[in-house]
Amino acid sequence: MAWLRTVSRSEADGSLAEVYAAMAARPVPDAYRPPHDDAPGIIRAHSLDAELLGRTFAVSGALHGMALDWAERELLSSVTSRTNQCFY
Amino acid sequence: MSVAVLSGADGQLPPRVAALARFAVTLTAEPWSLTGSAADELTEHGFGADAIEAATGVVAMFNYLTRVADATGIEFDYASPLPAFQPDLGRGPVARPSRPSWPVVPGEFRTLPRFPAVSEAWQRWRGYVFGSEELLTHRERQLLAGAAAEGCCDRWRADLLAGYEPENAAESRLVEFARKLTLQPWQMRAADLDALREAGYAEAALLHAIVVVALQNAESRLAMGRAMTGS
Repeated sequence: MAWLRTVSRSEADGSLAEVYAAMAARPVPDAYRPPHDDAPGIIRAHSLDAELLGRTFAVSGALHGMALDWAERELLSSVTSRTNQCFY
Repeated sequence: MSVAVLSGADGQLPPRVAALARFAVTLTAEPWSLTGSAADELTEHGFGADAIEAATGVVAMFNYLTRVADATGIEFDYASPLPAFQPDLGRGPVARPSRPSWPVVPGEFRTLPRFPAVSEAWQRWRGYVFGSEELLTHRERQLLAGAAAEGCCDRWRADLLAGYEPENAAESRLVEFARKLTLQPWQMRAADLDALREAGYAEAALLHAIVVVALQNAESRLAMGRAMTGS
């Protein structure tokens, strides 16, 4: 369980529910789909502020379209996480 | 190849891939040390200017996301065929150089000009995170960002925010939080958030404290990565 309170998709209403729905509708590689019905943890981590969530993942999503192929982006993200000793 | 990346065996990677991995390691762990030679290496391996800027953006973003993951304590919830990554939680922070040698990278490098849509989204994001007056005051955000910029050896940003020093116990806790999340994010614990709660910060304010620090870490790296190419 996270150390910061989060709001699940089933609990969300108003603008948070809208943001969750918009993000769930985006095409996402299977590797990024968690084996549960809720939003991925890194997205739920932002759920106390729907505006923040939307703005943050607008950047994250836009980065996927930039000049590198998927394997190169995955390498960069994996090495960054490894260097930061982070599972993510 | 994936197992090599997980285990840190970058030497086993094909040369082009290894060059990209080296860039990500340096930009993450020692961004202040990047020079034009790092850009030259990527160019020699066939990465054009767009790809280098894109790579900088991805590494910057993941320096944000890993810090949010570490500070919020979320659990890994993606299915992966790879063996679980075993972090070295006892690792100390990378030694920082003395302040006079910190790179001075001005504000115009904190964008992604080759990707206007991404740049625009980034500006909207930073405007909200650094500029909001809700949940945390502007002063509190500047304290957090200043401590993070110091930890990144981002002299331009640290000098800009140098006038902000903690004036009470709560602000001191914010600065301690920012330093730890910047220097040793892998050592964040639930107690770090409890310390901020005890200082009177509301739950949503904790989220904002996390993302201010995480975004400053991302943006400092964006700046230093962009400055590497001088463009």
